[in-house]
Amino acid sequence: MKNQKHIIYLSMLLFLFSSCATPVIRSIQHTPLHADNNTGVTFKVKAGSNSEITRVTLNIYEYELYVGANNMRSARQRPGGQWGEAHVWNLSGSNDVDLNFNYAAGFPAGSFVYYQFVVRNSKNKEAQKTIIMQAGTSPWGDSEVVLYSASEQAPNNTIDICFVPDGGDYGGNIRQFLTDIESTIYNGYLTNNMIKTNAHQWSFYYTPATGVASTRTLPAAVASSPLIDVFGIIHSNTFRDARQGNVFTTEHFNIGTAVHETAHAVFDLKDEYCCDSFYEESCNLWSSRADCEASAIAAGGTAADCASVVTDNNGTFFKPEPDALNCIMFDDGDATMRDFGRVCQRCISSFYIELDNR
Amino acid sequence: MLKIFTAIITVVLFVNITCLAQKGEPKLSQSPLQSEKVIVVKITSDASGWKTEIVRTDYGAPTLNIKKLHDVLLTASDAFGKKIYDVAFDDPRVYYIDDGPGGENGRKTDATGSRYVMLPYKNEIAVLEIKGLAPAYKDVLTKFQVADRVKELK
Repeated sequence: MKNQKHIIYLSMLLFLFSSCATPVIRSIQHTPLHADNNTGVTFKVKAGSNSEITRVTLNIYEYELYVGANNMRSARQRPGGQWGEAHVWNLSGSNDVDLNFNYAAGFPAGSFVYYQFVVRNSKNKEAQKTIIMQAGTSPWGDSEVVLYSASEQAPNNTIDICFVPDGGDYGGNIRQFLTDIESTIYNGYLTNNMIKTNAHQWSFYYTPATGVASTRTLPAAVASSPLIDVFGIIHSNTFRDARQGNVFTTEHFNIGTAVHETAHAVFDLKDEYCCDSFYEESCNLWSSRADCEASAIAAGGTAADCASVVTDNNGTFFKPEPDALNCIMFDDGDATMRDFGRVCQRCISSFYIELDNR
Repeated sequence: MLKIFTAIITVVLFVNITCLAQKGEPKLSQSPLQSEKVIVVKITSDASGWKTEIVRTDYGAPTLNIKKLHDVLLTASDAFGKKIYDVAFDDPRVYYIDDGPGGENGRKTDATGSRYVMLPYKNEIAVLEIKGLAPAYKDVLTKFQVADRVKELK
């Protein structure tokens, strides 16, 4: 009788997996990140499936921005704008797709666009992903412009990060800045092990107003923004980067540095390299070896993972991840993207749960 | 037998819930990026201590208050001392040079620094308190009476 039950449960599990073979959308992107008025935008999707992908649909929903009651920035469906299916690919013979479509008409000034890829396989299972972006001249001047948000819950349940061009490097060339940060976002943030899996909890913005990276000075247009959690002042010339509160600086091409500094500012994770940083107790750094060992074990490591990182300004601290993991808080990787280690993963997961429950 | 039947129904329901992708048009709110009215507060720190200035109301989101391991904690309370919101942040004067191992790293302090914090808009906010969290800030405890200013806000 017990074996019969096991067989039934096993069959149900097999049924579950076979019937749940939905396609997987690996990435969706658009370029340019913020298109000029009525300028073409290319939408891209990469997806895979255990069974043949038969149809991919790009839906575009076009809104216009306006000032609503109480001066609230609002959006409404644009009369005569694109609303629904913009392009369809009918496919055969492939389990993996890498498609793009140029929406040549683009969008007028003050556009707020919601685009969605729907991928269907031969078993009629569908997966879909949606992104929100702005296009055309922003009606809010130099205030933050949403570039890429996979969340409909922004900004309360997302980490809202605004990129600011350094005036010395990008003054007068904001189009180059937008080109540069496209890679910072797509090849950087969205490839990190703890961001790509939770991309729906991140929203990326920019301002065309310039800041000063060397002094971490924000432009007045966004300094008191009620939306933004973290600011990244982006520069192209290399110099020593720093963080001050919720402002960090990085070269646009040092994607590892960008995520490392963001982790300081958002998750309050500390450096794990020895021995010349400034150390304080946090989720990935402990003043007691016992706490460190407990943290390492809870994350799936061993007590032996703990090592001290010595400092001359604030005592001795213990990090719960071995150097061999080469995690991003140990070595930011500069232009390469390293993973967060297992203890940091645990810290960030806990953060994401709290963010969802706000 | 009943248990097996129940298990099958449970699994079928689970499959339907998890495997059917959400479909249809977006259900965007009218103000998709500005969901909540907030009070914008400017915090300044210098050698003389801490200051707060209630700047305006706006629409956005209260500052993330998930991690409370920073230098200080700002608590907004009503006139009876009931907490309405709190948020931790670092001393805005302080910056950290992060040059990686072997680089020129460390903690530096400017003469003055400021940052903005968003509080949920609540007419009953009467007191803002800044209290030290990190060991170096253990003596920090400053209170600001803001009831009149909050009542002026629209």
